[in-house]
Parts: sequence; C-alpha cells; structure tokens
Amino acid sequence: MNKKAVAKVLSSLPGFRKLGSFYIGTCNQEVISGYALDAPPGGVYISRFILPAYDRIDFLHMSLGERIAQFPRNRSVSDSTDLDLLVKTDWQELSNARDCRSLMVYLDREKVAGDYCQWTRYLTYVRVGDIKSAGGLELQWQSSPGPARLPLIAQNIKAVLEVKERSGWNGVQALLTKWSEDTVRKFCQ
Amino acid sequence: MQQGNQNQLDTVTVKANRMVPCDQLNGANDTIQPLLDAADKAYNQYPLRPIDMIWPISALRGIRIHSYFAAEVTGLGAPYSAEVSYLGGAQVPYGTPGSVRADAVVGPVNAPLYAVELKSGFAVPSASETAAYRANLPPGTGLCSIVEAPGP
Repeated sequence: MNKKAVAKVLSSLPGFRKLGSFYIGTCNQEVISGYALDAPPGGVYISRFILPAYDRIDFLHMSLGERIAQFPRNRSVSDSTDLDLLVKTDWQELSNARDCRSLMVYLDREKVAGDYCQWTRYLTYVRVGDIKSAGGLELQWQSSPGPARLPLIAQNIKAVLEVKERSGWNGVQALLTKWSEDTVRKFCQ
Repeated sequence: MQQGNQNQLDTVTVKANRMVPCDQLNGANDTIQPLLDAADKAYNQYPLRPIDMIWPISALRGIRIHSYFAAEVTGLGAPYSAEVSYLGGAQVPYGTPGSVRADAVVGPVNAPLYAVELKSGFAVPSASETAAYRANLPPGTGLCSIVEAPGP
C-alpha cells in the first residue's frame, strides 16, 4: 500500500481530524490520541500515539505509542479493507483512554517503557493528587545516575521543580492545568 | 603553533563525532549480524557501476538500497525496526523539521539499544550528521554505521 491509500483509510475514520502527519481522534483537557502516518522513502508505517494533554507539548510525538501497521515499498502486504479493519479494531481499544486515569491503565496494559512514560506517570500522579507517588518518582530520578533525561522533558522537569519550590504541589497542579489549556488551544481547536 | 593546536582540536572533534562501524559497536554482538546481512543483500541487489558514481544516478541507487534494506529489516520483526525518526529523543513521523531518521533501530523504539545509519557508494557519516543523531536519539542509545565497501 502506498502513502495515499493509507492516508485515505486514516482520513475516513469517523470524528478524526488531520494535523500534519497526525490523525487525532481524542483531544480533550486530559488526553490527545490517534494515529500518525509515517512515510519515509522505504515504506509507509502507521503508529498509534497518545499523550497527556497536561504536559507542555511543543510537537506531537509517538513516545507512548507503537507501530501497528507497516508497508515496505513495492511489497504487497495487505489491502485497504484489512487496514481499515485493523485500525478500527485498534481504535476501539485506544479510544477508551480518554482521561488521566484511563491513560495510566493504557500504560500498564501496553507495558509502555522509557523516560517519557515515567514523566507521564509523574504528571498524572500530580494531576490526580497522588502526591506520595509523585514524590516517590521524583526521588527515584534524583538518585539514579543514568543517562541524561530526554531533551523533550528536561526543560519541563525544570519548570515543575521551580514551581514546586515556590508554590508547592498546589502550584504544580495549577501549572499542569495551564499546560492542559495550552495544549487544547494548540492541538484541539 | 596556533595552527598546530587548531589542527589537533579539529582532529579530536572529528574523532569524537565519528560513528562507530556497526561490527565494532559494544553490546551489538548478538543482534547486528542480521542487519549486516540485510545491508549486504541490498548492496548486492544494486551493484555499484561506474555510472552510479555520478549524481543523480548515485542518489537514485542510494534510495533503492535504503528501500530494500528497510523492507528486509521490517521482515526481520522484533526487535528490529526500520526507518525510525526522532526529535528531542521522541519518535516522530518522517519529515518532522529538525528530526533525524535512523535506517534501523534495535530494541524498543522509544528506548532503543542502538541505531544504525546505512551508507551507500563511498559515502560515510559526516560529523554534523553524527552530532544531529546524538542530539535527537533517546539518551543512552548506541549509534553505528554500515558503510558499503566497493570492490576494486
């Protein structure tokens, strides 16, 4: 399948909105999710994506998602009917993650790993007021000497810690609310 | 004397930014061979002819080799992934401004063990290309290159 055929299937998903290479199905103050069409020279790939809206998001990315379909160039793999069914079936599951609590369920169910996943868990604990768990994650970061954090989240961690120092956890919750509003303004309207 | 120091500095910088050949990358011993085989197959599928040294024929051959390699890597399945783009450590779609595209990655896409840059013809990864990889791959990701070795 070529890029055009795959784009046609994604465009036909009911209620989805196209933003660059992203097809957004859920977009609210807690979760943004849908699919990304990735079309480098050697093939066409569809990736699931889901992000916490209460992060400061400069650009959409697939850090919490995964590839669900891939079509190497010039190799017949599947037809559009199969793909349509595959994406709709996947969306039945993914669309259940519509708020921060179900986002956590998704992360556990899909066994998502990596720095951005840990960052999402941290933000979510703060968002739902589970300060004990958020504090625990923060201590883990400070004690682990591993490689540097994702550039993507390094500046956001800094912003959160500065606000926490100044205004405590309530201040951090207010910051996440502001980030959520910014995200909605940027990607949902 | 100053010129000598500058040369030394240039040498050190270039060495620091040089990409390790994939068959010498620490920690890749158990997983690299299928990728080296895939690259060999791609090179052999489109053998280097004298005309392939001339642009834009050289670029066309490069595209074909990369496409063939991507299909081979996709066919390998987990833990191999073909053509993955990153920006600020996050996976993004191809063409995202400022992103780099690894020809293959090994391990979880969001936290790979290492990324592979494939080169065709006489091309080798440049220092700026290597620096862009370092800036955009997830932290801790190894990086290596597979370079074509044309016959005599």
